[in-house]
Amino acid sequence: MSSSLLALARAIGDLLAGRDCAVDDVVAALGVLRSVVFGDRQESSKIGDIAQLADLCKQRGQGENVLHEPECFGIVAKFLLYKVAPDWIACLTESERSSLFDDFFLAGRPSEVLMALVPALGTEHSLESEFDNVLCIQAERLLIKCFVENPGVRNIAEEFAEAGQPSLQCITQVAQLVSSVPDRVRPKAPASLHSPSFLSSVVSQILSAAKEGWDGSTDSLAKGKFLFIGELFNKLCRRGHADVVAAKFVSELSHFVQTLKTVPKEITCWQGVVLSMKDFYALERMAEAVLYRLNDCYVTEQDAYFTLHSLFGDPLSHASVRNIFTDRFLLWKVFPLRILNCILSFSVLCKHGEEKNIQKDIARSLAESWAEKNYIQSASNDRQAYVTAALGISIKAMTKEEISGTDSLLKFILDGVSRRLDSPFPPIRRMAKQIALVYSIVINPDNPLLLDDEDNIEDLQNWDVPDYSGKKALADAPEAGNDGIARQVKAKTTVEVDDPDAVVDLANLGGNEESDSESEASLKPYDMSDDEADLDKAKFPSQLSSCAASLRKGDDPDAIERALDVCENFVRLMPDELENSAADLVQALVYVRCSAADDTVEVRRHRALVALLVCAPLTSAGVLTKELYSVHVDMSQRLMILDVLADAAQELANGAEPKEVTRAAGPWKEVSRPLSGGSLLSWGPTYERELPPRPGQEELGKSRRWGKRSLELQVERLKTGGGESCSYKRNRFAPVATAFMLPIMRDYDKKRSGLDIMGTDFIILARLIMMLGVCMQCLSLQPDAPALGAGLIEVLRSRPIFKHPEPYVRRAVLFAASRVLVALSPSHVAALDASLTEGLEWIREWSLEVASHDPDPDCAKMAVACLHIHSEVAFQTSRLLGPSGPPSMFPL
Amino acid sequence: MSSLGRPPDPIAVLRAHRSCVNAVAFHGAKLLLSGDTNGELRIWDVSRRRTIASCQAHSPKAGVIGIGTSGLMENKVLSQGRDGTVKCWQLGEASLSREPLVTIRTNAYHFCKLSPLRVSTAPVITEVALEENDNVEHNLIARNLSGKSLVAIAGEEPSIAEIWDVDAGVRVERLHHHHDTKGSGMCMALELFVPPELDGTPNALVGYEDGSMALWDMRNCRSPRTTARFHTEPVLSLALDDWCRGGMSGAADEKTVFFNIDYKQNAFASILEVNHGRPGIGDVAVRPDCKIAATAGWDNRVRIYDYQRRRALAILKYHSSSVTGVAFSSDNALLASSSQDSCIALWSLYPP
Repeated sequence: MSSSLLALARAIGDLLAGRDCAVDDVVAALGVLRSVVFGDRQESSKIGDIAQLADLCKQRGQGENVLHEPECFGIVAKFLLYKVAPDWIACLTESERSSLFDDFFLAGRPSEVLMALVPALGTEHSLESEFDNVLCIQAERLLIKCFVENPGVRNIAEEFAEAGQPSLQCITQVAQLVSSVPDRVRPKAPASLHSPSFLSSVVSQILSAAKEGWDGSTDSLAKGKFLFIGELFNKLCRRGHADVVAAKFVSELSHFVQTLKTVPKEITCWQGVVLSMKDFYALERMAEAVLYRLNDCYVTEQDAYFTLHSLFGDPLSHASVRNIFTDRFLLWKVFPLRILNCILSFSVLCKHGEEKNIQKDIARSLAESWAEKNYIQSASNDRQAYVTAALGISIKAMTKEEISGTDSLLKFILDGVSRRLDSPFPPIRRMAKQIALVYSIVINPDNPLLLDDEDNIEDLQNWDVPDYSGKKALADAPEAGNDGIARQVKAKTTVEVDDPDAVVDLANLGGNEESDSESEASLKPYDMSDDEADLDKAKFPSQLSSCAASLRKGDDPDAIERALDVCENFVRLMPDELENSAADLVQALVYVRCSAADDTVEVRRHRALVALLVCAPLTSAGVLTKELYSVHVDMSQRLMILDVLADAAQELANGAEPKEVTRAAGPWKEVSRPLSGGSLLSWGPTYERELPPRPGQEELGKSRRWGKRSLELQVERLKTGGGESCSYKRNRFAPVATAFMLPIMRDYDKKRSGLDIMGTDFIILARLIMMLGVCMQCLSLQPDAPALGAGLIEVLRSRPIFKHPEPYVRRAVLFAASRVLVALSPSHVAALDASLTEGLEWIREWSLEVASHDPDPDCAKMAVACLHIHSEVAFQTSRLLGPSGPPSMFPL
Repeated sequence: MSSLGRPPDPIAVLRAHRSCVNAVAFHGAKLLLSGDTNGELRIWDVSRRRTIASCQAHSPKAGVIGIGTSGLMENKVLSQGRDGTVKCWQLGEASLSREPLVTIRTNAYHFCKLSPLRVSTAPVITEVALEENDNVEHNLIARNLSGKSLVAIAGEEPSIAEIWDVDAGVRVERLHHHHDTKGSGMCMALELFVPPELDGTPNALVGYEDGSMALWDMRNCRSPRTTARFHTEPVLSLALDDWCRGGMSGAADEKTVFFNIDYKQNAFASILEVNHGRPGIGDVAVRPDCKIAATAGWDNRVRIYDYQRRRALAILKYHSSSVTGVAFSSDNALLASSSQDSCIALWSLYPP
């Protein structure tokens, strides 16, 4: 019977599948179907018959069963949805509709109903057509009826429970369909089918299914019900609904947790749900969502601990949970501090109330990762700060005995602290200080260890992960460090003019206020105070040579202080003997012993050296570049030398020329001229002298400007405030650039004792490259730029430099490379030789590689900027060359 | 009277000397000469503030103790060393002559600064105004002095002041008491000038070790026209104003004395003592327009006085060691002060 029925139904289905069948065909088919199912009672084939079909189905239990057979159900459902609904639904009354559709679907097996309804949501169809619209509306209505208003999903779970060992494929398919409903429904569909409400209803149905008949044993996890539940949660979390799931879990658990006094010993049904999730990624997403949910709900630390424990059980017993909480969440992700506390109290400290049970090996592995050199070099700052916080909080919770009782924990801590203290980045050094402080407090609470004077304990114990995203690029770094100095130096570039105090107002003097009979103006006195203390005033050095001598007096800090006070001013006045004493003075300044307490000493020394480099560049640069690699200077002196060189280069390139205070005609000088062609004119001695400019005469650069128009333009520009554009400055750095750069580029990789530039002293290397970059920038558009730029690229291209493991060095290389690009004018590039072209191409390729693969985000950012500059230069060059230019000159 | 506030700082400091600067003198308004204890003589361009010439005028052992410039000598300048010589140099546009024009062996080894002759710019005092258009040049021609460059120095016997003719390199006069050679002690400060008298011959004002001063007339080298004793300690410095009607003296005591000279009465008159509280005035100078005067103190101070009202105006504190010399430029714009701290400070005060 049933097999012939099946064949018939199929035949009808095939018939129905043809879209354009006539009404009569449909009616005839229904008649056939009905006659087969319900016996051959002759009824007129009216439309009302269709409604009666369902009635009859109900009345005739046999028929119903037949229709709800898996094979049959699909066909009838399809028939109802795709044929009856679009064409006839308008003709049916409310009650007919409910009896025909609702009853039929409600009576079906939920999994099959699901399989029939969900595809009908029809995201693939165009929603414009009336046909699809009606179909969708019906499908949505029925879905709500079966799965929201009735616990359809729960019934599916029970269905699988009864089935014993259902096929995994089937489970997966059903789970897939349930989880996909919110994604498939039309935007206009009722809210109860959209993600939060539909899914939360699904989750609560599932949870109640899980609770039902939970016996606390892990055996049931392998059975159909939990296979389905686990699979459904996997799918939900994978589809990005972990937050909904977590919210449901947390609210369900909140009541349960409040009744708890201690950690539940047996496995809870929630834990069963979690354990049934076999997908690691989905589990991790869910755990993350639960943590965020707990954070949002402001539950107490203890409640949070109980919630996590009820959900995930003992963190160590389950491999994937353990992995998530001790590795993924501690080392790879970054959570807010509150969540970190939850994680730590759950996985490392196992702390609830007064009880705690520290997992020493987890703390140790945390410390090990924290101390790893590669991690320090490659992990981003916020991740490092997060791990630091995790380690710090863990250490803080431990006792002295626990720390010493944990194998090699102390070693890792010390390694990590010392490696971080070597870092050039202040945030990373701060991490070292934090851990050192927290450890010292554990060892001896009365004697906290502060590694830097300006630190304070409260500040260092704030574990909040600072926002590093707004961090300045390396390009700003030199300014950032010596901001004050740079600005002050800039302000100092002009020679100081007359003391305003000395200018006496003639009007005041002449105004004879006194009843003075004399005709002459009386003179007003100045303050006549004269205290004895001034007499003993220490003597300032008054000569450059005595300055140098005072600076060498290691035993007399006051003499050094006084010499530093006056040194810069002396140098800036450019006395005639400067060239002779510059070398001596530079050396004295480099080796001067500063008292650590006074920062201004460093500043003054810096400024004096910059002044020397500006006023006597060749001599001073010669000494400084030699001292840079000398074995007698230490790290800080080397850094200072590099800073000073960079600052001086900038000042030479941009600063105003030191001008003479008053312009007067120079003295006549006898000049020797070579005899030119035996001219009689050159027999006698020749004299010449410098003349001051006549009043109104202006010197503007080397070239003269002719014509009224350009002068007017200048005047206009001055008026509109674009003054700098027409002040012609001579780049005084260009003539001395080789003295600044070449000695440094030549000797950087020589092997020396006590200085390992390519290895441990990488900070020097980075600063050195940055200084060369600054020099390049100061050479912008100068004729020397291509030659020196090519040399610099040669340096950068050596493998140990651009492949340096420290991001600090790579950043410096990127900076320098970009400065080379900036320094080249298009006309330089157009006339380039092969080696520099190759170098520029290398910059492009390497920047591309860094931009896509470098682990350091700042490096990547800088590489992108560098690429941008490169393309700009290439564009300008191609414009200059025009279409006729050789295309291979500069690869675009 | 209201105050102008904090005293000014120097407008420039010249630092090329490597030892104590002993003397400083302007040549006109544009050039400044300075000499140090190493015997180096430097010539500075005041507006550019650069050395334009320097030479080893005297041996490093001796040093330069005095520099003489005078309108009468035009481009010749004198340097006095403690090696018993006074050298006369030709000053070019931007250089000194390589060798001195004249080297006078005076055999005097002391600290008294020389004083070249200068002429009062004041109208000549006449009992009967016979010559209304009397002027300096006329006087000089009348007295046949125009060709002579006279200079006063303390002689080989330090208590006797001597007058030398620089051009000829010969001694013209010795001024000593015929009866009392030792009484006043060494000659410490000199000023040689032509007073505003009709038949004025060069006069010399001499300060002595015992604190007394004597006014000598070259026509009578046996006894001074007048003497007075204002100081209790050796007189260290003397300066007459441009009219030569009065002047100032500084000494090793704590006083600065302003005085006028009454040529008719042959006496010092209108004496005012200013006590400044600290001993030692190494040099004094009166600005050519006679408005202000400056003193060089051993206490590292330069003191400025209102010369007309004889009143203190300012205490300039820059030097870190004793001030050795002060000088005003001929255009009244600048004051230079030299010091043992090897610096020369330039000041711009009370512009004319």
